[in-house]
Amino acid sequence: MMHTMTGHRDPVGAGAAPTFDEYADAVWPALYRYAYLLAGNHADAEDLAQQTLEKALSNWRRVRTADRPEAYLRRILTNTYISSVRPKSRRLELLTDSPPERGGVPPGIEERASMWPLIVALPPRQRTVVVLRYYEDLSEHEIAEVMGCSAGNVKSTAHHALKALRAALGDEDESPEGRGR
Amino acid sequence: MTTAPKLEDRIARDLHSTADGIAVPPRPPIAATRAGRRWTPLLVAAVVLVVVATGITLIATHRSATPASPSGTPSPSPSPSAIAQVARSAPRTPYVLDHALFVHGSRVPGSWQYVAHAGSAWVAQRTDNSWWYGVGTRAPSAISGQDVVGAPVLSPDGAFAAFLVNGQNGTTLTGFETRVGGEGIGGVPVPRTDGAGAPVNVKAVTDDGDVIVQSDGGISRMWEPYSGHTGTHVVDLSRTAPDQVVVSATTAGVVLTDGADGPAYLGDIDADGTVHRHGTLPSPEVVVDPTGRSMVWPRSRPAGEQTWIGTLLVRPVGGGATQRLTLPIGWGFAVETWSWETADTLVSRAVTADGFSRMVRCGVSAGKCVLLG
Repeated sequence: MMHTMTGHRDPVGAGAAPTFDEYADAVWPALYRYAYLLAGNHADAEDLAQQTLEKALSNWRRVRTADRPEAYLRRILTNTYISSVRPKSRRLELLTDSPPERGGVPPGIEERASMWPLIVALPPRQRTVVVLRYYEDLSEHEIAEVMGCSAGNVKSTAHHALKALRAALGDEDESPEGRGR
Repeated sequence: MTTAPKLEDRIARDLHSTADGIAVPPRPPIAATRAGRRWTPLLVAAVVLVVVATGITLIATHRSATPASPSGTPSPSPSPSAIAQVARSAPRTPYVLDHALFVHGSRVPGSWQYVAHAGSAWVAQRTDNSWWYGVGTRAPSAISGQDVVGAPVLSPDGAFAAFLVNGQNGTTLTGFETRVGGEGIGGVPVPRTDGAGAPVNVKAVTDDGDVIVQSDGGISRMWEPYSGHTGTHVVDLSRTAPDQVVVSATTAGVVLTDGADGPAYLGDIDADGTVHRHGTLPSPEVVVDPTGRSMVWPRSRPAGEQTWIGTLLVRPVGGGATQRLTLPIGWGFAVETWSWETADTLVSRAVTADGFSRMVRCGVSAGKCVLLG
């Protein structure tokens, strides 16, 4: 399932150029969710998402006229996150954060998905690649463009991440993905 | 009968489940930042260099020649954007020249003999052998109180630095996060030398913070401070990847050789120490640009006590045409002083047979090098 920042093609309304506030309102939920998956907690997610919109406002003309504004925002947020990676001690705290208060959770949906703590425990770059690949559904080249690195680096990082997750699950019998040499 | 879901399907499902289940707070008010657009290597890779106020060297290229006008009068000169230019401004990356260290154009007090940089971080050694590090234009900090053995090594993105220190209890492999507020990454004991007396050295640090140490006599280990295990998770690479020599970690992957003098290749190393090869390399001495797309290496190795190289070669990491870079007659590239300034420019110290030194900038798109200062 393709996930986009805007959620749908025209969040504001056909034919009307959105104001920044209208655009920010439309993208905020998706931006926040992406930030949460990177940062692992609400406080940092809100900081990240807010900083991203502040930077977007500073470059509003460029964002507004970009072919893919959501890709632009995603790149800003990702780079803001990677450049402000939290120290290891704080990362350990995230695993013991109590789940935030939320209302209206549909019955049957678990409070915390089983792999989520393992994904949070990944190093920042690995977590970023995992979220971009499996949540934002980006290709290796698209991820490379977001992170400002080579596709080979993305592939390598993804491989490390999956290996770490398999090891954490104790699932050594699962056959690794194919790899060319 | 249902089969267990593939790992990747589980990851995708759980990420979406997590994201869909969180409560999104109301959007806070947004104020514009004052920060201007940041330069990034991705932008520079597609653009020729800017003209600087101190002077312009126009490097004519045949590829942009304009046809003569029918009347025989000289055609107007091509606009500056059509001619590849190599700026003569001071290097933007750290460099040492005549024992002076310059970072972002400013001289750092003291007498210096070495500097290495990655991302926005740098490590440098004074002539008193003390080690220092800095990030961007921040004032440098001493790696103090430590008997540092060998040069600290930076990860390709500059986020981590690792080094060996001698202490009362032997040698320790340690390091730190270079960013503001960064923490140490812990430490593990390592032997100072191997069974044959060869020293153990830090060979590479990856962007994940993994540190690889090796000796010529068979010690080969990878420490994974962020593996999720306790801080002492060390993989014996001599068992998982025997005879594979790690040369460096780059933005395109890890540079290794198959045996001490074997062919060089690009690869990556799993958390369990398995090495995966991605492609051959023309030389183990390749230096990869910040984007991971291009690499430079010396055409030949210096002979004997020679301290300079006449020609550098540049090529896309994935393959393609190789370009030669040379200096004006009488000048050579000082060995191991070249580094990428941007995805399109290299900076190096240049020397003459008489011992003069100057900095030089090479433009890959321009195919030319100019002396600076």
